[in-house]
Amino acid sequence: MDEKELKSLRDKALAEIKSAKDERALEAARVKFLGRKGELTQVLKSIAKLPPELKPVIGKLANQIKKELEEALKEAQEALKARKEKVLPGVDLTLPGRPYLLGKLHPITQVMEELCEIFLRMGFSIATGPEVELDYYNFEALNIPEDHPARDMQATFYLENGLLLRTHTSPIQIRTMEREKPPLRIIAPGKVYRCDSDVTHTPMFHQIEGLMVDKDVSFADLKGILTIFAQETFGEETRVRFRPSYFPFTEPSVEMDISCVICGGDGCRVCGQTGWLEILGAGMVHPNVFRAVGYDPDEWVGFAFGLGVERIAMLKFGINDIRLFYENHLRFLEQF
Amino acid sequence: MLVPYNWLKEWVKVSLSPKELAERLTLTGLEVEGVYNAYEDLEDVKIVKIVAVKPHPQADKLAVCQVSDGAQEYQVVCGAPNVRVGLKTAFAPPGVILFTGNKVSPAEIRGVSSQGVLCSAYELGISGDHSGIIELAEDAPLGQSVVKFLGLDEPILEVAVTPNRGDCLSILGLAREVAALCETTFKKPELPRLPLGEEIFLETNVIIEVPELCYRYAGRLIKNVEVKESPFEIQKKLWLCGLRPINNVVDVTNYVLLERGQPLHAFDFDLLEGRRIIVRLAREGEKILTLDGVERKLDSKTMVIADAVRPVAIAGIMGGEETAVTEKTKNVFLEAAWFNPSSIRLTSQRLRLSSDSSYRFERGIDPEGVIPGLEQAAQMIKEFTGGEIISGRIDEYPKPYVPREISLSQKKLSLYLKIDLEPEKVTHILERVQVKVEKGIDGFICTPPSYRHDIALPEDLIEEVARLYGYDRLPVSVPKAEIAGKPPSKFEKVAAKTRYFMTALGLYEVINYSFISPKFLELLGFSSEDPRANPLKLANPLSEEQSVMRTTLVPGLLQTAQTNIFREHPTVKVFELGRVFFPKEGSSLPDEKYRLAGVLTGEASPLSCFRSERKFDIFDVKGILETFFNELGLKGVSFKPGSEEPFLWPALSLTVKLSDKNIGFLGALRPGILEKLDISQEIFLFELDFDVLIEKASFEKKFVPLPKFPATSRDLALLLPDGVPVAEILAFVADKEIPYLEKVSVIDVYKGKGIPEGKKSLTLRFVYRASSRTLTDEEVNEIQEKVTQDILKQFQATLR
Repeated sequence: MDEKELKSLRDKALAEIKSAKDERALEAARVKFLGRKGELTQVLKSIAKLPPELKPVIGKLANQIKKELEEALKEAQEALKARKEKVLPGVDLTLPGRPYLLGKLHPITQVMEELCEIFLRMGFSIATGPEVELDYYNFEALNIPEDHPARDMQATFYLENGLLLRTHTSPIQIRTMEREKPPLRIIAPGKVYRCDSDVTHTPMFHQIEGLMVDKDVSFADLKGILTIFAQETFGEETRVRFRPSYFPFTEPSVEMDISCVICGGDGCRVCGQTGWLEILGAGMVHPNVFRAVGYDPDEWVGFAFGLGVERIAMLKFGINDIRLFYENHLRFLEQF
Repeated sequence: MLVPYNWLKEWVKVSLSPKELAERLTLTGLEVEGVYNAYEDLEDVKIVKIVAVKPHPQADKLAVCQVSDGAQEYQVVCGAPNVRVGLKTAFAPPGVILFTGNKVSPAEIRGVSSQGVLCSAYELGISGDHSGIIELAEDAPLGQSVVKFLGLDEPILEVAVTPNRGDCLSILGLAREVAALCETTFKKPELPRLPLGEEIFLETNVIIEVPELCYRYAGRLIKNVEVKESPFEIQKKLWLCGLRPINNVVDVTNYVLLERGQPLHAFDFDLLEGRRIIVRLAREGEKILTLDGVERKLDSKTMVIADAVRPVAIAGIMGGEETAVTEKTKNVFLEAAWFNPSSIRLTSQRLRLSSDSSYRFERGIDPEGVIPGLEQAAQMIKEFTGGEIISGRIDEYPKPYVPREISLSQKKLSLYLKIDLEPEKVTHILERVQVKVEKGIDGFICTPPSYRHDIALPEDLIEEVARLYGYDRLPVSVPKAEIAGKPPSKFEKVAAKTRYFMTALGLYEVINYSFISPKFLELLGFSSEDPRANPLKLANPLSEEQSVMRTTLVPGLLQTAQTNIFREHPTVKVFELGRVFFPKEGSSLPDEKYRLAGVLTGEASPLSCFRSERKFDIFDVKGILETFFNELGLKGVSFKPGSEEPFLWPALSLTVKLSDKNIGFLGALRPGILEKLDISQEIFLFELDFDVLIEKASFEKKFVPLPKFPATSRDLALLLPDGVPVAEILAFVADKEIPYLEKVSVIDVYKGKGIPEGKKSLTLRFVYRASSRTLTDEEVNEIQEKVTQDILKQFQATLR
């Protein structure tokens, strides 16, 4: 093979490499020229047989061409790769993704956890107790004797054997105080029951009550803790106000309002144009309650508070019918 | 309680508007639930013009009028003498409740239909004039509300008086409170000077047999009364407070009750047998027909007011019909008493009968207000009826009121409120609510007024100071930090993890009512010995549907499934964690147990463009529980085919065991029950004893080093008798302690085409790995060959 033929082999090879449309064609071109039996390989193999005067010239040229072809191949490969990445795979990327379904907690559980968390961070711990209660724990020990008009405040479900369904989680406070010595800092979350059913009442709902007992606990602390609670729950800009109220188990008693979460306090339908929403009841523990559990009311002071979880959830989520919580319609549960 | 703003203003100087006053009251402890105009009830009464008048064909005194409101004409039958064409007057359409308490409805009056009522000024609560229909100005705009046109406005405050503030259940009481709040003057009522003397004792006498229940009983006798309608102003005040006028004697008793909070009762004196009063307990078997028209049986715990032979009133609650004051009454015996609040409340509850009187007695009336109330009422009855007050006053007072002294230390006050108020300031605040204050050793000695039964302890005085000082002005602090509370209980931890795992597994949490329908338990078919068939029953359920406490979470979950299926959400994958209740003997508290349960039905993988639908099956439930148990760190859980649960399909259910103990079940609901629930898709359920899970769960994790050498796997395809459970083969392999075996998985089970009848094909994948080196093919082959031969022999299997 002379110089000219060699050059035309090179041109042919380069042309094939360049025109290769895909990796397969490119590989074919490689085999054809540079493979074990490839055309250029044959030339290189035959150099030894060439007359000595041609050997250096042809040898040099052939090796140079080999290098050239290898580079061209590499270049072509890169180009092919680059082109492949640019080509659309023919998929409609606007199709929706594959459905992956998540399970979620009931909105009441979500809100309960969120609210409990606030108090846990303030050093309260969780206490629990039975949902079916004795009159003593639900009423008597809480300074609500049988003939007390305050019993009208809580429509009670009774069982046929004289027991009752707790109307608040306050019995847990009594049971905890009977069991443990002060100081004490607990919250009592749980289900409670009252015979009531309409847009704002279900016969079962959830409460979180808190109790703190120590030597030096004041009304100021009560206000402080509850203000922190309201602002963590409804946002820092939330304003609170405290109104005197009445609960048999606290004295003084107080109700806390927050600035309306809907209108911010300007007055709207949700807050009845007042700009305020009633959110929880609280007060300093009544000395009779301390006496009932054997704490000395001259030695210990405490405050307690209680709130309805559904009410807070309704305000947070803008739910207008409390009964939705217990229908368990998935279209409802999916929203939270 | 409804409080007419203008009536209140008769007793206290108020510069606040009704709305402002409402706000002030709310902020100091008497929540005002609303402020409205009493005439709102009459807002639908509109201005009409009489366009035609015809005589009534059947009645001389009636006329048939055509009236127009400008848009529509109505026919009204009217008996007023002043009807005439062209007159503008007031027309009440059906539905309106007039001042008289009558509700307007379409009527047929002697054969002529009447579409409403033309009203007198009296019927509209404007004046006592009921001589004819109201005559409105000629320019009165047709169709407009009469109330708006005349500017009728009587603001009413709806006050929610808390049970401790019985003293605020009257206009005077509230006026006193307003005066204290606004630091303004309260007009003390004057006591009328009525004849004292002896005459009454010649006519009658009062004996209190139960002084522990009747603390005070006072009376007056008024003779020769003329019972008729009360003056309009009295009627109007009653109307504003939501009461109906009756006659000039009964209205006075109601008026004084509203104004002073002192309940009163008037008897027709001539109908009292023996003309005397005995306050005693009822005798077993005695009956009384009360003013509400109901005959009531009395028991020996009930205090009654009796004459010489029979009960004539249930003390403090309601009078008897037989001795009531009517138009025939000539002589009236007027009662004012102070009864034991507890007795009144318990009786009222026993009889399920309450009244404005009992409501006030229960909450405690002013013992010192009995006589003023009696005297004012006697005076008013005398004025309105033209009667004559017999000289002398009965006042049996076996248990005179003794003022309480309460000492309040300055130290306690500042401990509670964290403010240092000067003693003069404290004294001033307490005196605003009529508490007498004297200096004590380290604080104050306070005597609350007779009507404040709620002030009995130093804490009560602290509340008064706090509330009048203003809750919002009191300081705010945060309790001194202490090392935080206790670590969470095991229950809290396991419950939180359970909720986390279940939702991660794609289940939604639901919360159902703790009470269920007993019918649901019946439907599930428990045998009578099954504790779940014997739930706790509510004595006063809201409905049969919610009348027993649940003994299993299954009914609630089936209801959840039903609700969703019926409301076009046929796929349900939910769990619930909650309590069930099992009664114990007698009146001891029931056993409350935690259960974790769930229901799966519908599409396991939703239809999408990527894959086809697949319905849930029992292996979804089993798989969820396997993963869950594994994550709970529970050891020794097994699933035994079949279940004793009567509501599960035996062929498609499993019993969950922990060691040898049954801890729950999973399976498909029986088709028969599905049918009764009107559901036509398969439903899978599970329920677990969560208390056991709490006890046995373990979240201790121990790290296992990651493998350094590669694994080798071998697949074994077998043909074996259909009846051999795969679990047995896996257990057999597990027992063999095969060297280097890391894991065996079931990768294929197949029956049908290509497989002989009565056989199934099973493919197992064995994975081998040594921790310190790479295993050679030869040694793995040798181990695998031995396992294969063992399995073939044990299970009469052949290689495929």
